[in-house]
Amino acid sequence: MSKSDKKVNLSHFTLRQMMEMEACTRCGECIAACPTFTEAQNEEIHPLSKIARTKSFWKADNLGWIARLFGIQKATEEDLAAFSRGVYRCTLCARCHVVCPVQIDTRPLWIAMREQLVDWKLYPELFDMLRERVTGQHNISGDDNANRLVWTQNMDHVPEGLDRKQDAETVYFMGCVGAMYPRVYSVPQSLAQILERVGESFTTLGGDEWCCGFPLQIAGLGHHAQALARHNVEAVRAIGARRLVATCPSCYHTWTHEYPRMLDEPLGFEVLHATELLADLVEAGKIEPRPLEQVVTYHDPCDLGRTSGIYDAPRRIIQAIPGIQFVEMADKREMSLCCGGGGDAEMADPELTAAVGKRRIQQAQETGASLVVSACQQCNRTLAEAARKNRVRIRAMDITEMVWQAMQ
Amino acid sequence: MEQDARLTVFWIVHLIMLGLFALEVLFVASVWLRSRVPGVPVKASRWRKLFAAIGYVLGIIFSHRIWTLLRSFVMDGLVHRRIYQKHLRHWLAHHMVFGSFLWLGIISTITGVVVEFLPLFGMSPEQAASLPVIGQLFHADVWWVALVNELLGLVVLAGMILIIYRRYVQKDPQLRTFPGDTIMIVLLTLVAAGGFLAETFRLLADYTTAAGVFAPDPSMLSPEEFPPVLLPAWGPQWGFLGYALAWLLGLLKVSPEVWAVVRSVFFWLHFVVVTALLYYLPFSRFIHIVMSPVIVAYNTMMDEEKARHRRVHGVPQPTA
Repeated sequence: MSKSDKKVNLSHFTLRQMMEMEACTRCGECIAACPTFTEAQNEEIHPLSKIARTKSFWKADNLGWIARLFGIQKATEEDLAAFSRGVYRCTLCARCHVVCPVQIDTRPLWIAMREQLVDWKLYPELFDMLRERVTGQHNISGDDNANRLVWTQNMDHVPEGLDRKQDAETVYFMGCVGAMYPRVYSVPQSLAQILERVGESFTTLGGDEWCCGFPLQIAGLGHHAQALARHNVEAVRAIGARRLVATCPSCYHTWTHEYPRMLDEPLGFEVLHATELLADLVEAGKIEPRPLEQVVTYHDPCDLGRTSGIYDAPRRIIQAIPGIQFVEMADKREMSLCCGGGGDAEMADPELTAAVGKRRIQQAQETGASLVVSACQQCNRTLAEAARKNRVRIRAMDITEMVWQAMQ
Repeated sequence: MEQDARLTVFWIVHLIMLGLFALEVLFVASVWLRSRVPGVPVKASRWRKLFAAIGYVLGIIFSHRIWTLLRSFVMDGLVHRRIYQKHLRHWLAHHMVFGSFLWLGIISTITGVVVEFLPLFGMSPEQAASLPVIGQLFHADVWWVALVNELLGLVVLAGMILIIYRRYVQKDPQLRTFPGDTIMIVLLTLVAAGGFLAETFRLLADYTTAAGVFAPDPSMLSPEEFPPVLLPAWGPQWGFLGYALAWLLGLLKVSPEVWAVVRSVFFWLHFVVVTALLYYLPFSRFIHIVMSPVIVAYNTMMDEEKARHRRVHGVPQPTA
């Protein structure tokens, strides 16, 4: 097998990440916790393998004969291809970070590896289409971005001031999935109606809402996301809003964690996830839910729970609804199992992510719940699909939908 | 005199080897600096990145964050709280090897200082051995030093057995064994077992009479080797395993000159294996011994700070 002439560009990694890779003890805790490895049982996939490969690549590139003396060989093209398969078959759920005894901040590390693979042009072809859509149309669906409010068309009553109302207190950032995929139109519809009902002064960016850049960033194409971040932040500032609320945990994560870092400046307004806002409204008595007689379980979205630390707000909301019997799944909160819908992994291997989703919906079924509630459109879609494919009698619903239902 | 020459050669070779090891580590670390250091342009020189990193670390050290860092360094980096909470048996095996080697290393270093470095500052062996507590580390035949060394060595060996059992017999599906791991496990076992043999042959060389009888007595050591102030604490038999082995081999009635040669051979073999282990460290998983306490302390501190700042939005997070 011929050696590859590709070299690792270490500027994709931070000094901290270089040291983290050296700190990996290879204890294998991440192997046991990895949802995609559990399904695929493929050695290319698990975190330990990705770190070991990356280390051997840069050591072979930079340490010459000393590396060879200690048995580290230059990678072959097949090694790099296997590395790419492993890195892109990860849902970026960050469960590995939770179980790691060294607390390696794994998710940014996997993204750095993806950036390297983009450099080497060793990434799934579908990502080119994603890049073209997001940078060209400013959304992931490829539709005209002026249609961001298309979900209002089948509403009996459309809340006023939805499209860029000046001086609104709150901007609702809908996210590409919520705004442009009919299956989850009910999410923005529900939140808009809730906000109107409680008398919140709110608006959206309408056609000025661009993709937050999250799908590009996690694909390793983050350098294209800078312009999106700048545009979105300026658009919110132009409205003069005091806060931004997102129903999509990935958008929320990007706004709270990535934008300030990318722009290297304070945003100047507060960013909340819808569950935080709804929990505040419920506790302030502005939302008075009516009884819903259901057995409900909650699925923690990875971008809301593990990577953003929001576990309690959605549970407080569910438990505030009278009549609901709330039951937890076996894997919950920090150890929650991924639904399979994250990390763009579905674009690389849909069968694998479907298997991850199957395991999660089975966990939901084991609780005896008739409803699995999440706080993420993508999780909602993945779980509903898993339930349908595997003939599991359980409904998947977003928490905003459930709250709106309880307000009827 | 013969022992003086041997130790002088040892220290010269040892220092050269340590110097080469330091160069190796610096070489590897210089590659790390090809990566990105937040706040410094990507194409900045490695020196600039190094100074930025040092500045960042000093900023933590001279701030209230140091207490969080120190706490997690001790609890997670040294005590390994997370492993303890999850797998008591793994934690025990890890500490049996890591903890015991750490203590053996500390004891050896103090002995090196007392025996080799203090005389350089004009201190006689008697004066060095008279120092409180550390003075008794002047010689391995002080009873409690012999006992502690013996127990720690045995604990290391027991830990290695547990590790070998889990990895090669039980074949824990969570573990992945790379060829380098096997090399390191062999080297570690050789270091632990070789330590006992080196001790055994040292006892035989020191305490075998001209007639070839193993008959330990402190008078067989010169006052420079075993200062009189330590005589009340003399007790090589407390190093029971090495002592028993020496007693058994002593039945062979071999002359002390032969044992001296064997001792030198095992002494240098032990040294070579330890050096090989040291040199392989940056290229093996065992670099985590150095890196993981630092990283786990830092990452735990960062996680705690992130949790505290969760609802303070729009503030750039520290991202070093």
